[in-house]
Amino acid sequence: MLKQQNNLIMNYVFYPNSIAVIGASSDAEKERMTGWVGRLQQFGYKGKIYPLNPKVKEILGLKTYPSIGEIPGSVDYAIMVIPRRFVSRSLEECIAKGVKVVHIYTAGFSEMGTDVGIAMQKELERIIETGTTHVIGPNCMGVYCPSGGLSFDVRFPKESGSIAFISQTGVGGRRLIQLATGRGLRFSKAISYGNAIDLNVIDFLDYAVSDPETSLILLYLEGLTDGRSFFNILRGCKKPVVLLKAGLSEGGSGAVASHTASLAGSRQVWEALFKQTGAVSVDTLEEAVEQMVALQTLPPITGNRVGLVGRGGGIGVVAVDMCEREGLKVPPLAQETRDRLATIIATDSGSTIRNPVEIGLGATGVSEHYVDGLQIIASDPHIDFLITFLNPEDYIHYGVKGWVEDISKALIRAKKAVSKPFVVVFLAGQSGEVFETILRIQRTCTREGIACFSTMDTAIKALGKTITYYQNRND
Amino acid sequence: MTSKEIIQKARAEGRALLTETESKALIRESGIAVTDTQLAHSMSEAVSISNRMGYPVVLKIASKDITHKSDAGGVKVGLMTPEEVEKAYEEIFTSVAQKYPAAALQGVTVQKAARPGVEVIIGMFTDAQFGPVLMFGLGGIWVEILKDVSFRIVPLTKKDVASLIREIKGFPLLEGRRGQKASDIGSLEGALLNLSAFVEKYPEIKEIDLNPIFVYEEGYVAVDARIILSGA
Repeated sequence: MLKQQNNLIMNYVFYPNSIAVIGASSDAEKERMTGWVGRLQQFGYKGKIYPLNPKVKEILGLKTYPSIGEIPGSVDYAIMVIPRRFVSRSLEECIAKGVKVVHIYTAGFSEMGTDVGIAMQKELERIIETGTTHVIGPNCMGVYCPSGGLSFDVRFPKESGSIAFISQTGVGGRRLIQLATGRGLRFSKAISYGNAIDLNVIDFLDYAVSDPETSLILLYLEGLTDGRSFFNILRGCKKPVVLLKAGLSEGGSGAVASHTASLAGSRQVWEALFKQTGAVSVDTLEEAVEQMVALQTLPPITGNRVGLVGRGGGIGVVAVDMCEREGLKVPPLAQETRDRLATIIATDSGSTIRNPVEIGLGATGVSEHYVDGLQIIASDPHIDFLITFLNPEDYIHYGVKGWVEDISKALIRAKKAVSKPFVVVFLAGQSGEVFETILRIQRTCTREGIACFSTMDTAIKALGKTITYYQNRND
Repeated sequence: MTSKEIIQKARAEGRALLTETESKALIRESGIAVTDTQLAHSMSEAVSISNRMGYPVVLKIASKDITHKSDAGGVKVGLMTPEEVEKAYEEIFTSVAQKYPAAALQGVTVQKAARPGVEVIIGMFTDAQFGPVLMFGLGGIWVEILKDVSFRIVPLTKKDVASLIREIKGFPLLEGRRGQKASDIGSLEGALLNLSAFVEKYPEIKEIDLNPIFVYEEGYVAVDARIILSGA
């Protein structure tokens, strides 16, 4: 598809001026709670909404229409929530009406693997060819676009962000958005595109690459039909792309006659794609969230030398091993740095000033030296960035009051004062209070642009991949 | 014959597998250095080609029906004299006749034995989703034992070929260690870029093995080549 033409279609997908809901419920309460009309109203959609229902005159204060053809004005977008057997007929009516984009929410097609489902999907594919209407789906959640007032879930934030999420999966996609927004991340757009009989990952990716609202792209992908276009778009993309490719297991590649083909598998080819395009590979939805936190909050880091700061020798030593495993280095600090640290750290009480450096928050709240310490280590010429870890369970144990506020303030101050990027790890504990507190601090910190995580493992892994991404991009 | 003509001829004969001579002709067109290989239809022709090329030479059975020439006893290396060429010619035909009685035999190919170097493999296969993909790794017998290979999707950039060669575990062998001279890595990078452009030009090609390739301090040469065309 031509880029210009694709952008035009995507404009109808994310910013339609009018939406028909085909299959709005005549039960107002039901429609308000779980229907699309209710969803659009509650999410603050500003365009015209046309509920389609032949039985009632009005739904949630809106005039209804018995069929799409009887809507007086033009219709940019239609959402189909009707039983499977009515879908093909309704699609024909949408084409006749000149609807720009139809989102088929209804499931029960090829994904079922049944003859009937496959045949019905084929029929839809045939119908699309007869007009200019474009289709999202079937079997998908559709669009979440805060700036367009659209959401497939009213609980999602109305505030816009800069992540575009393109997802083959619906329920998994919703979970991802919940996880990410819970961490303080925000989306420009999200699309669950399902069986992709028309608009597919290539169209959405192509749009996201040039979308001015988007600075980071997340892809969840199972199958792919046009690998070469996908590869070419990714290779040309200047924005970071996080890619969860599900279903990487080795498929039988059939009979082959060369050594080369006998050694090749789909996993090796995907690995090549990641190396050639710089797309960041993640294995789970949870890892995708951690990776996006790192990419959204950290500046482009290309050096891999870490200064580790936190209280607890063993935690630091384990962290050093993790760093090495992910390709990060934990070098000794310069003598001058150590001399300066010695003035603020009580070495006679057993704290070490090697790397890792032991600086904690005092038992009475935020140590006045904590931010100073971070600054001193950041000024070391052998250090590219810092990882600092804090153990909230300790403060609870000591009964320290107001430590959450103290930490948040100290970190926001540090963000301004410290000359190099830093990452904060709030070590998760088993206490409900700690757990809840960490969620709250993380949300605040992420929104302040501070990279924070709840285990050393996730932090170091996400950092390692972030550095590799920026190194590749600069090569 | 041009590459197009070779491909058309194989298609017309219903063959997907190109002969060694045909494969080398195509590979040579791509700009990759291959050993000079000529087809001899008789024993006396094998001797006269050997005399012209200079010894030592290698004889291989030429048959469109035989994929694995070594297994058939169809390869004789290090032949130093006309007498050894005659003896090898007879032995090849005896062995192949036993193992592949139904195979049609065109004769033998004669090639000048290449000076040994570090053995690498360059290959290509067609992925169902991404199309042509190139492979690089340690070659010769090491391919099957160590599987020390890596892949890149076509088209390859300069950065792709540089990282492809350097990411195999055996890369230190090419850098030269323990008194060994460093191999000509630049020439290998050129070969990979040439092959990437070549397979883009010929979508009819489904798979390629260049194995082994001998890499030297200066340059390299592909000693064997196998090309498989796509089915249609």
